[in-house]
Amino acid sequence: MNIELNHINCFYGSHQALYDISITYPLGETIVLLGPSGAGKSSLLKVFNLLEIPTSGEMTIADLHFDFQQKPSEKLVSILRRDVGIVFQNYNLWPHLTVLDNLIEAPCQVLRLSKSEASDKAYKILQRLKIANMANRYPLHLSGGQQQRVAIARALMMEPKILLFDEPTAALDPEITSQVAEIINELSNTGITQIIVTHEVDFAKKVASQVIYMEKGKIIEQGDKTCFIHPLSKQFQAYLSH
Amino acid sequence: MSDKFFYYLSHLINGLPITISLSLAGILSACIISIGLSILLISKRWYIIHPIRIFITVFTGTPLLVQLFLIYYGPAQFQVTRESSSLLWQVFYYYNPTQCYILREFLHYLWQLLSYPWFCAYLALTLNSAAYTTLIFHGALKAVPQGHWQACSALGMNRTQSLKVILPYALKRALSSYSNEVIFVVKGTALTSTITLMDVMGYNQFLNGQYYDFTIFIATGCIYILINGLLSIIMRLLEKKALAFENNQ
Repeated sequence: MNIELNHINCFYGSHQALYDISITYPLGETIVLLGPSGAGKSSLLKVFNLLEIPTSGEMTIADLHFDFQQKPSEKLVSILRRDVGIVFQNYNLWPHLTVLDNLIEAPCQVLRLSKSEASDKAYKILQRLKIANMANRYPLHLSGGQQQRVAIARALMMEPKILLFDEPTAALDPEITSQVAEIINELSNTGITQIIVTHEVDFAKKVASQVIYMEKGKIIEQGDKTCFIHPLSKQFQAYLSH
Repeated sequence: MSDKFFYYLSHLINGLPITISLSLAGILSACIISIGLSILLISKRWYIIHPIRIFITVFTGTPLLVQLFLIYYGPAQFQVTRESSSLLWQVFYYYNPTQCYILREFLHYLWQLLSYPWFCAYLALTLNSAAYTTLIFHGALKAVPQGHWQACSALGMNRTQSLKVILPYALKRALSSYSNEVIFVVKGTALTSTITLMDVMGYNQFLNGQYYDFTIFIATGCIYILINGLLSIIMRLLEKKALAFENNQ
C-alpha cells in the first residue's frame, strides 16, 4: 500500500504552482513538507485529498487511482476523502456546533453511524487528546491549542489512513507547539500516515520520518530524517542554516 | 380625554385577531419560502436563478399596496378564471379532458380563495416578505466563510449534507436583520384595511368616520407599538440564544 504521485502539474490560472511532482512513499510514514512561503507546500498537501485538483498527472493512494486527464468523479473524490483527513491551518471548526457535534456530524451523515455510536467514539478520541471535559463547549470559547486538538479529533473520527496537517504550528506558542509534536508522534505509533506542511525546522525535526524540501513548486531534496544533519542540496543547506 | 382613549381602544382591539393572524401566517410562510429560495439561489444554474431574481425585483420594487390591489382586484379581470364555458376551455377540453378537469378544479378552488380578502392579504404579505427575506437569507448564506464549506467537503460530505451543517449557521447570523423584516410585515398588515378587512387599522378608519378625533390615531399607534415592541424583545432573546456560541461566557 503506497502513496504515489506521478508527474503532477498544478496551475492557478496561468501561474504554475507545482512542476512535475513525482513521489512514492509506503503508508505509515510521517512525511514533512518543508520550504519557504510560496514553495507550493500547501498546494501539494491539498492534492492528496483533492481540495486542489491537478491539471495533469496521476495519483494512487491506497487502492484508489486517479488520472487527471479526466476530471475525477465526485463519488470517487468523496471515497478518497474518507481515507484522507485534513487539519486546516485555521482549523475551520463549525463555530455554531459544540465540540461533540463538530465531531459526530460527518460520521453520522457520511458513514451513517447512529448518534450514540458516534458519541461513544468521539469521547474515546477526546479522552486520548485530553480534552474530554470540553465536549459540550463551543469552539470559539476554547484556546487556539484546544481548537486544534478538536480539529485533529474531528479528522480522526473518520478513521483516515492518511492525515494531512496544514501549518499546524503557525498560530501556536512554543509550549503548545511541542504538545502538537507529541500528539503527532503518538499518532504515528498507531500506524497512521501523516503528511505535515511546516516552515519550522525545529518542529519538523521532532516529528519527521521523511522529509521533502520544496522551492518554487519543485522538489529540491527528499530523504529520511538524516537529511537534517547531512543536507545534499545547497538550497536545503541554506534553508536549515537560517 | 383619557376615558375617550380607552373607549376607542376597546373598539380597536376587535381588529387584533385579523392583524395578528395575518402577521403570523405571513411571517411563517414567507420564512419557509425564502429558506427554499435562498438554497436554490446558491445553485449556480441560470434557469433557476433568473426566475427568482425576477420575482425578487418585482416584489421588492413595487409598493405593497399595489401588490395587494393587483391580487385582490386582478384575477377577476380575466374571463378564463370566471367562466368555465369560454371557448378556450372548450377547445382545451376537446383535446385533453382529464388534464382540463384537474386544471379547472384547481382554478375554481383558487378563484374561490381569491374572493376572500383575508387570503388575498395573506398572499400579498407572504410574497412581499418572501422577496425581502430571501435577500436577507441569501446574503447570510453567501457570507458564510469558505472554510466552513471546505471543512464539509474535506470530510466527504456532498452539497446537501454540507447545507445541513451550514444553513443553521447562516440563519442564526441573519436573525438580527430578519427581526426588522418581521416588524415590517406587522406594519404592512395595516394596508389590508384598504381591501375591506377589519384589522386594527380597519377599526381605526371606522371610528374616525364616526368621531373624527385624532385620539383614535394615538390609540391605534399605541397598539402597533405594543405589538412590535413585544416582537422585538422576543427576537432579541431568540438572537441571544441562537448566538450563544459567539459570546464569551
